[in-house]
Amino acid sequence: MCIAIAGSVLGVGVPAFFRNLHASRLVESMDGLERIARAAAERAATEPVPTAYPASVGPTPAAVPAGVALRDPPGSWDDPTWISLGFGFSTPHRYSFEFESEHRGRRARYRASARGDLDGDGQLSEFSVRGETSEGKAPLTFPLEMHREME
Amino acid sequence: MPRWLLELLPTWLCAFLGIGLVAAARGPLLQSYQQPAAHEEVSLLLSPEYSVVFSLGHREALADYLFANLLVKYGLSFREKARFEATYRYLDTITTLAPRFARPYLYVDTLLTMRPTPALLEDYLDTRRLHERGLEALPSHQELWLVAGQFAAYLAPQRVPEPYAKELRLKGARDLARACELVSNNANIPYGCIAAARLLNREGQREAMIRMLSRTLSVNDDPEIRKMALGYLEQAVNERERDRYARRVQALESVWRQQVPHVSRVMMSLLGPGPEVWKCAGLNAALTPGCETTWRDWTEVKAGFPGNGR
Repeated sequence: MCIAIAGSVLGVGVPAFFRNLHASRLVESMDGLERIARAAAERAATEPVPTAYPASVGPTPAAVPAGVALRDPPGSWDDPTWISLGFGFSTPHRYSFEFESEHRGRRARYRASARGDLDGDGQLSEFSVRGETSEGKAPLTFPLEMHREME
Repeated sequence: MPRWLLELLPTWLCAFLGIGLVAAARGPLLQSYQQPAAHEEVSLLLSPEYSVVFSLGHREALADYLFANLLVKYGLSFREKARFEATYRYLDTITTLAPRFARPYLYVDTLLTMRPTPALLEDYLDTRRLHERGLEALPSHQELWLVAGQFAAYLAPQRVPEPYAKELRLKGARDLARACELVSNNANIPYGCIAAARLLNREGQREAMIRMLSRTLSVNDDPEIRKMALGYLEQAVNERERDRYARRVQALESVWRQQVPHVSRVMMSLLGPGPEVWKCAGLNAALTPGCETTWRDWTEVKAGFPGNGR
């Protein structure tokens, strides 16, 4: 009888617990993108259009952590782009971040993205923010974009 | 019709009727079940004042619990692609319970404006309100000044109507200026200072801009930053002020090179001018030029730049 009750409780509680645990970790990606967006907008407000946004940098860390929080090897966030955005992690984390920028004529734009695999099933969730600036105008940041947000 | 089929008919009829009834009732019931659930979230959370009493003195513990709970709810709102209405109330309660708990303030803009549905005007205004509360509670938290400043100066103004946008830009510029004055490991801060100067200038806050650039110059050794700051300063002040500023910088540089060339400019600012002890001994000698022990006295007496020694 006790085993049956305990089994039922676990059957209901454990999936809910893991669902909530994964949900709470989503904030890492959102906060990361918000930090990047703030810093990119600030830089675009200071620099001329050709150097409004720092150069593109590939996914950091290169491989998306699969279901675990990983501490990055030393130097992972030493790329000039991450430094100029004041972005990086010193504690274990679960998302991989990328920054792409381009400059064409009198307009520059960027796209920052965060990819994660919270349950380690190989399917990635992706969040991104974009922004742009043009001569004589205040930098713009566009709303959040999501793809398979809960994997 | 065979007899066995007639006997089964009532059973099948009941089954089909049951399935139809469930299918018809399930949708509206589910909807009405989920709505009260979301509503309960709001109503179950006590008001900030009651939460303080309810915590029985364990304010930080309750704030911690509520913050963890809020992060879960925030994540689940993405699964449901719905706005979690109680976010501000949670943050209000958490920051009332533990006003010096920094993390909620640092996450405020993310939690209130990075949502699965577009953020509303009130979200931006609530974010600013909570940032201000945080800045009041943690006046030396450099990162918080920076976050609040960047949000108010660059992200919020593009999403709110103009009267709010202008006010936010100005407040943001002031926050960024304050962030410049505080010590940080963030290599990006000096660029933020220049950005803040531009914003202050654009908003007509010339005096505030000059004050901020002067401070940036006095604590920064990076030649590139100094060049940028000096460039802006030269544009902002008239010729007389520019000359006076140039003389003061030269005089300070010469003291630095002569007395303590081995320390940084910031360290020199902390040390103050070094009087020649053997010349300045005694009450009368202490008041003679060259015996000042603070930069303010040194500026007024030796260099003749009244009111600019700080």
